[in-house]
Amino acid sequence: MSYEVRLQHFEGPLDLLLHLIQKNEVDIYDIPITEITDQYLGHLLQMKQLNLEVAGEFLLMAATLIYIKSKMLLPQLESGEEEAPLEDPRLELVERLVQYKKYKQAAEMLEYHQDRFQQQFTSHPQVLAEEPSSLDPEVGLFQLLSAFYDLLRRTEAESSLAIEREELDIHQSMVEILDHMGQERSVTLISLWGEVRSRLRMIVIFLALLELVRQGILKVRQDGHWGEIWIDRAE
Amino acid sequence: MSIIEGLLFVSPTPVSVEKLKAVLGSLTLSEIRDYLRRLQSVYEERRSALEVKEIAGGFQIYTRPEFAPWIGKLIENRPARLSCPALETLAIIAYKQPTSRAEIESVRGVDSQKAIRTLLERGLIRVLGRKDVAGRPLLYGTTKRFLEHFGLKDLSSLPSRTELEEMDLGKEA
Repeated sequence: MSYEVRLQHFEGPLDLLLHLIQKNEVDIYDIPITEITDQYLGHLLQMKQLNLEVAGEFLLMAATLIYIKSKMLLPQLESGEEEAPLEDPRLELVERLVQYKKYKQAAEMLEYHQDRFQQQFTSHPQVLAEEPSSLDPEVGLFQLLSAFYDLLRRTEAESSLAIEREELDIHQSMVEILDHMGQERSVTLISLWGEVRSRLRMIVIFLALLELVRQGILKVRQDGHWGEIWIDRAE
Repeated sequence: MSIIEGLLFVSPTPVSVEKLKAVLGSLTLSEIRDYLRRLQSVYEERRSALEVKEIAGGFQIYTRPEFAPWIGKLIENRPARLSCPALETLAIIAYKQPTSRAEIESVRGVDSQKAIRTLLERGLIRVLGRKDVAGRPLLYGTTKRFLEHFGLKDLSSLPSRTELEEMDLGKEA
């Protein structure tokens, strides 16, 4: 008989902290750091036990909490004559939490409006469809990297006992890419790697492609979101 | 007034007062607004299923929410609900625009790349330009689509910070 433990999902470390603060019914402006840190770490431990991936941000927050806790435990040093009282080490965290809470409430408000408005109909309903994204430079690069990463993963790892010294010449690769294109105006991204199986060589070819794009010799485009990626000569 | 009603009925998108004037010619903008208000009163008096809604800088006729159970049976209800990360990111952009990915991530405390992409793909946000600092990061803002999706009149109809705090949505944080 299997026993399933379900752990509440949190959007991020701030979300988790807000939950703990509310659950413990403590004042957000006077957080009992020790208690909250213990519970926070306890939650992370549970996540690990359930084999859930703990994102880096959660770990960073754990370190931050421990740091704050340690600062609060240290005895307050006697300050000089006119020195202002030492700042509450929790202050920065509290400000972040308050700000996050504000926007979380704003998000809930938006959701409320969304749900309510979806109860209203009109004669020509507009569907929230996916639009082909146009000319967003960040998206283009991301897609390119995704495609390349997929290709790398699909390629079997080269198990060679002989350690060769490969000449990793990007310029040479650039020339080879242009040769490969020959008279064609466009080729597919995949075709650039042809039968190459060495991961190092594949990466060099990819870097050569990026350099050619950077120099404005070639351009990259994609059919729709998950379509084929094409390399064009830039005219 | 009936002419305006007819125009609103056939329009696939919200109609601005200016556009109405372009069709009607002889009326002033405030006269048109007056008719729109009167039309809404008529609907309310007859307890009509319809209402005149001011949305995304224009006007459009919608069925009232109370009638959703019946209308939902006739028409396939568009699900189109946004995820929590998307809503959070969107809320931040809506209030702080123009804003960069770094600003968004400093509020949320988590990576927001995926959420931003989703919102861009759905046309709810767009790139407004680049920030004039090192790295020249992209700046984002909401679109007209955003107003239409949430049934909002304009950006100023978003509740202010204090109103947000006072709002009781019956949900737990």
